[in-house]
Amino acid sequence: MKKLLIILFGLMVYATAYAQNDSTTVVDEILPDSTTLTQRAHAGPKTTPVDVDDNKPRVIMHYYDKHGNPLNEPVMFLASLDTVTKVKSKPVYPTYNGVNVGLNFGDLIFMAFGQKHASFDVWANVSLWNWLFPTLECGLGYINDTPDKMNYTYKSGPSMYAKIGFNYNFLYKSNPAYQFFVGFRAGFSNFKYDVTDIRINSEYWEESQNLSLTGLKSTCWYGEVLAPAGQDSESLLAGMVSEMALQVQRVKRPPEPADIRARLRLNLTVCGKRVGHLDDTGSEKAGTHRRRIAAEVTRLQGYDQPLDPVS
Amino acid sequence: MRKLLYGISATVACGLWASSCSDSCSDNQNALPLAGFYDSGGPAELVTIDSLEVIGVDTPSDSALSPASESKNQVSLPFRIDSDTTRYVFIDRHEGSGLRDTVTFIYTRTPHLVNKECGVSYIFDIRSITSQGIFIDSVTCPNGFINNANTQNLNIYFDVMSAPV
Repeated sequence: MKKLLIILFGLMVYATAYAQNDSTTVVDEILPDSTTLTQRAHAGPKTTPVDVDDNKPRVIMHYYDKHGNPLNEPVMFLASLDTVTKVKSKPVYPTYNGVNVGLNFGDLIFMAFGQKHASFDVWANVSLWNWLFPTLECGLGYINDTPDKMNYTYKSGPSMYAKIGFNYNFLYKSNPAYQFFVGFRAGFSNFKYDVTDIRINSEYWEESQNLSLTGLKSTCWYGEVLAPAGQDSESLLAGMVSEMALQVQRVKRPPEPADIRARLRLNLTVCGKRVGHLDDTGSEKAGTHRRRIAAEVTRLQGYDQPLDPVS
Repeated sequence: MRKLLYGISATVACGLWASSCSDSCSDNQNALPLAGFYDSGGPAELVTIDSLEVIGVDTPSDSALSPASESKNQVSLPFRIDSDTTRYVFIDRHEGSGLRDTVTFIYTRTPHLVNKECGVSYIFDIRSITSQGIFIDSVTCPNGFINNANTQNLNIYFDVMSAPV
């Protein structure tokens, strides 16, 4: 029995010694150098090397959104909503958008600078969708002019005229304070006029006559186009008679209180022309016509708060 | 929408074009009769007349309206403006011939405001035209009136056999 215990103890010792010898061999095979376990215990923590793929794309994490606000947790992708929608051509304003009333007295300024004719009128239009503006104008015209190098003086007292038409606003979806429009008018006038200081000469016969034609009447229908124009157009249409009209405009819009606007309008009139025939009785035949193209630039002044579209 | 914009643009362009054509007077600023010369027996073509002198009757200076040294197939014949009758003498100066034909125009005058650019001029409504002489066969005014239009409005028909062609 005693021998048996000695043998078992000897086997255990041997087994222990064998086990220690075997673990040392494994470590030696893993580590490239031949340091001992004691020495490696003082070298630092045990590390496990891994393979690194340099071609693998790097993952960028986003910690803030596109507006700079921090996210609750980092994300790999920032999604953005597609906010582009098809533009609608329909007007954004309601059908009835207010009434504009104006007074045109700008020719007073030009008469002060020598202009020989003037027209003063009141006008009103209705804003439909801020797109179409049916317009009615009524006023008085006056002229007392002797054209340069011509042989007559043309006079007309205050004469009534009326125009009806509409404006087409290209910026119908924008703020009503800013308009870029083309206008069309049909005008009518029935007036009396005198042609005086007529001088007709005949050089060959050395004769001269001075005449006057008074109490002439005319009925006039004419068309008018108001077109926006910039500085280039103004120079292109050189020689045209220009008119400037200062207008005070009262605008009423149902959802908002009335406000007062001051509008500066520049009219460029091209070749205002009257053609008529004098018959034996001294009256002018119907058929007088007038062609007129006016270019209009509109600026708004004194308008601090733009009107928001009515939703 | 696009068609409307095209229409507006076309209207504005036409208006500008039409208006740009009326800045100046393209016709005469006075009614000036212009007579063309024709062969009374030939085709309706202008013929050139040599050595023909044209003088107004009772002109203050007795100056020739058109000298004989110029060959011509047209001549302007201004009418008197303080009388309703105008007379012209056509003198054949060919080889010292000195033949004279007299043409008399009788008309009425009406002042006429043509337009702003052309001003006021007369309209001459022709009442009668007579000619006396040998080489002028007849004188006509096809329209019956003469205004400031810059066109030929009188025809003078010459007897070519007698005229200094």
